[in-house]
Amino acid sequence: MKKISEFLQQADPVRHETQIPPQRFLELRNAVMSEASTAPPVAMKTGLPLRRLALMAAVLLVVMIFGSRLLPRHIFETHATVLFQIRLAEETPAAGLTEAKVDGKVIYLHAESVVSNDDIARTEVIPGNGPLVFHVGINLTTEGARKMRLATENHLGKPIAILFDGEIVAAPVVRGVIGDAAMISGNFTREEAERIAMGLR
Amino acid sequence: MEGQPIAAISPVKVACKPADPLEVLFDTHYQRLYRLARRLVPGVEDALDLVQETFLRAARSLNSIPTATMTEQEAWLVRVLINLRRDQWRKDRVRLLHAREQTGGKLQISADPESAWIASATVWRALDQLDPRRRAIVVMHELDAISVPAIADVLGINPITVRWHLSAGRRELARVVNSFKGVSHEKD
Repeated sequence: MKKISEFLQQADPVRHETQIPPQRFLELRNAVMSEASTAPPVAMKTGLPLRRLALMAAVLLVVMIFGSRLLPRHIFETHATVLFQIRLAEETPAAGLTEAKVDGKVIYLHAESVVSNDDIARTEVIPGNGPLVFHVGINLTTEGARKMRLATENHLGKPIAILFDGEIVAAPVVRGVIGDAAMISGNFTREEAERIAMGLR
Repeated sequence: MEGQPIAAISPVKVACKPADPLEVLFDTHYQRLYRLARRLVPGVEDALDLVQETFLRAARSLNSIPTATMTEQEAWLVRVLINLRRDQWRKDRVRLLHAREQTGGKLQISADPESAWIASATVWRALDQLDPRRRAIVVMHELDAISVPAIADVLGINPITVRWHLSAGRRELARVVNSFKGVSHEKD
């Protein structure tokens, strides 16, 4: 049984191709230097022509208002579902626990998950502090919230692991009993937060 | 004569041309950038072009490149390279999709389940389907063994986002891997 990394290593062109002769890099260097010296510094584009901007705004408005009705629904559902799990974890090893590393810290995962995709009622993107910071809010179903509450009230001060497709993405320490809502805060951009929120549904 | 030094060594200033910052930048980073570029594009020439375009972009905005540390400079260049590749990739993708529609066929992978090499090559080709930023994260992690926090630093994104891309990238590659017999997509 092979891992993806082994496949990639086997096919990695950097490892298998003949080394680029130094002469080629020298040519590349000369090309860069001569082109850089002849071309005047180009001012970075600071704005778009007004007409183009107005057109883009109009198109955006139309898409926002009619988009979901005009286009088939599957176009909006391009995000594959992500296997979501929250599992309790310990800081010390014990029988039946799986060792896992996250951010250089070792934790020991319980085998069973507290909640998974089925326990999610809805997800949302929550703006954080600052225009570029977003979090992902998760609202659990009644049953999911009950399981979460039961699990976390006896787990204060210990870590829980949030897993996407079996991989830990965050392992915060439980500071209080978690009920029907949880937030994955990670200074995401809006795009990233939306992607995660959609993938969890 | 006694008491006098026979010879004294003093620093001699050699009158030489001050190093061109662009030349220094090129000499310091071209190898690392080429390696990354080669892992993001199909061929050697494409990779060299991408590196050239990255340095030309750098030449135009030398003032905005961080000078404090080499790591910061490298991060700046890596980000530019990945963004340039993203632009190319988006254009190529539109063309490719169009070509596929024209021929009416799907992208067929000539799979010989016995051949490990073909499996590897196919997995590598499957990288072409990944967004270049995701691809860069996968190759940096899997081939350069760069840690998740370090990749996050280089790309200026959150470690959770890096893990997200790694997980999604592996999932997409696993789909290809699974089409081969006797192969699993275990995660490490």
